[in-house]
Amino acid sequence: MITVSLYGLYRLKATDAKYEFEGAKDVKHLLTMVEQASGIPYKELKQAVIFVNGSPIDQLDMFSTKLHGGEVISIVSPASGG
Amino acid sequence: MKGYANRFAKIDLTTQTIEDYPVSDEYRKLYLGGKILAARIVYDILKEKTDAYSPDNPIVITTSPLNMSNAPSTSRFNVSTISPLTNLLTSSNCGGNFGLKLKQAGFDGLIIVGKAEKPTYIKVKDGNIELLDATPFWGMLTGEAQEKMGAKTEGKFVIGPAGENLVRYAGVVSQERIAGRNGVGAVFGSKLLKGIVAGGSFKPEIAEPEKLKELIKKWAKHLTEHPLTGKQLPNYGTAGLITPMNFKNLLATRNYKDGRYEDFEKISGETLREKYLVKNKGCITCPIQCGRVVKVEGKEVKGPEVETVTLLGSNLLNSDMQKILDANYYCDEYGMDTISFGSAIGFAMELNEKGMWDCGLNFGDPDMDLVGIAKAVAYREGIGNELADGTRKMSEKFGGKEFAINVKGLELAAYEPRAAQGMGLGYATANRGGCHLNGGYLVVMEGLGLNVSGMTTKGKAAFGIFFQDLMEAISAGGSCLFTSYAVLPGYAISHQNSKLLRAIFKLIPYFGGAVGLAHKFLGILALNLPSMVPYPVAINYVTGMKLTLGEYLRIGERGYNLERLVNIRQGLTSDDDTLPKRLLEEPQISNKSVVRLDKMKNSYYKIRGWKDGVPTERVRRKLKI
Repeated sequence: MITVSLYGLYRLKATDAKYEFEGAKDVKHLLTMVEQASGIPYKELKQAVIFVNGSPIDQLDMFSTKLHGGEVISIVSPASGG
Repeated sequence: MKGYANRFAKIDLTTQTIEDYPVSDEYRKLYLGGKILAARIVYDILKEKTDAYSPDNPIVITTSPLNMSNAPSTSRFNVSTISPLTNLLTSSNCGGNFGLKLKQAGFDGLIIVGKAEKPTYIKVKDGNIELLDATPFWGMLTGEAQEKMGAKTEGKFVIGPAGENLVRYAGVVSQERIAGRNGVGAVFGSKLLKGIVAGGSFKPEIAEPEKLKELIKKWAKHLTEHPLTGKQLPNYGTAGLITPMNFKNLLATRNYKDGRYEDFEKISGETLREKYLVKNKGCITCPIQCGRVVKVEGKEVKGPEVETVTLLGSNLLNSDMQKILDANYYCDEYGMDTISFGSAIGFAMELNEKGMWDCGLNFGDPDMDLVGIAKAVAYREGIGNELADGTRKMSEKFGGKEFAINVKGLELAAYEPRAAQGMGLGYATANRGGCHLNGGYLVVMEGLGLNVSGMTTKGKAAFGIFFQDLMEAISAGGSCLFTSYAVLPGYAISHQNSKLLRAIFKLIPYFGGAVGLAHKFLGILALNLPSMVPYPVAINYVTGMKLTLGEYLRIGERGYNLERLVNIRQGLTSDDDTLPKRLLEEPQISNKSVVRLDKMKNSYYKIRGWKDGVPTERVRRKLKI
């Protein structure tokens, strides 16, 4: 089971804040599943700041980062202000 | 000069005298207004080291040329003085309507010195100034004082009990907005000045109204279409930063021991929106509308900013959002800064944990009475009397200097700098102490808005200086600093994962040399880019000046150096440009890093042209100071 949480602007576009998926082999594959479940186009999801178990994918293997089940994926929009 | 009221008043509360204070057009061209013109006035008035509570310490309230121009997000005004937290120059900015009302009353600014014999308030109306008895209002909370002092149509700028009782981080409130940082409210209190009311019918002349109107239309459109100012901020307010800050190890947690908080979701901007938000609200003329309206005790009141949520939330291991909303409201009513308040509590909790001060405050205590603590601070009762002095004074009494999270006496904002080296340099070098904005707010580039590595020190000095000077100038012009996020290309925000942008983000630190060189030769930027940096063009259309982008940035640089020169008179040395030992030597729990300050600080001084933290004669000549 892979848990996906949406944050920021992605949360506004989706029907739910959290999703669970099985069988995604990598981040790219997972995003196609998120697209189907949430209605957010894959093209937009691909521009998110994405974390696998709290590590940013740009420090892993980007969209080819392998998933094995049990991961927590966080999909975040960039932000500023304070 | 067009765009200005062309009048300043100096009010002496000791002698009860009021006179015009001369400010020339040359000064307007060199210093614009706001915090930079105020720094110049303080520099001219104070010739030697002065204590914050001395009657000689001037309070300088300044408006800016873009106030009343209708340009987006330009209701901001400034108050500068010597701070009781740092004993250095501070400037505190506010989004309430008082600045606009002061200008309508026919003044660009007020200079207040001396000390009244009894509680006093100042009334500024259509070019006239009166000093009036504030005894009936003394002791009132800021909401009630604003309601009862002066007419409804007038702008108010008042202190609450925190200012009256000399809480060192007391602020001054206009509507629901507060000039919060660095204790300007306590300086009001030390002069027995409850507040100021202002109003009138003056309207400044605009040099090129049609061109300005056209620019404003485009500028507002750009702000509302930009991913940060048009989408993120209106939808989530500044609290929308909590989530990305947490994932990027930037969320001050447990008195800055960590950059991540396991219960961050309970205090996130998402939770604030989904469970507590009544509606958005913003300052006058602002299309961003980042303010939150929430409910406290059944009333609709201003919601918290990211700084408040962090310092009263993760930093105390407090995941109860309603407690944060309640405390935020009461801090505004008492008139005090939520950042320093939260930081003082976090420090007290660690002192208690280490057996250094038996104050009864504990991290993560679900029964913690934040509103009760706020009241104790505002009235200096019990432990509140110690908390009211801020972390530096507390550490002088109880020890724990290494984990008293302040720079130069001012408590740090919400951003954990061990995951953003440039932000660490900014905090260390900022003229007003541990301030993210005066520090250049490089964290926006280092992982929040853009994705430049926060862990490299490369190029950070040059970029830090660029943004420090830019924000200085933006503030002096009268714009909200949040508009500066729209200077970042929208594409770079919303396409961070593209191969091209990832490559650019990796290369950006290597452009530090070029940015540093450009800083040296700002004069060559003899152009304007209104679609990216509209500020100087707007100022030109309002005032008739002929500013280029390079000259505009030079004004920012002039302001930064002026603030430093006032601080040097106040006894500042390069040893003060540092961070608490915790941030320099104790690795953050989550990212295992410290701030590598020394190398960045040397580059910073070199690019600024400072020797041991002091602007050289050459720099002063170049900047006409």
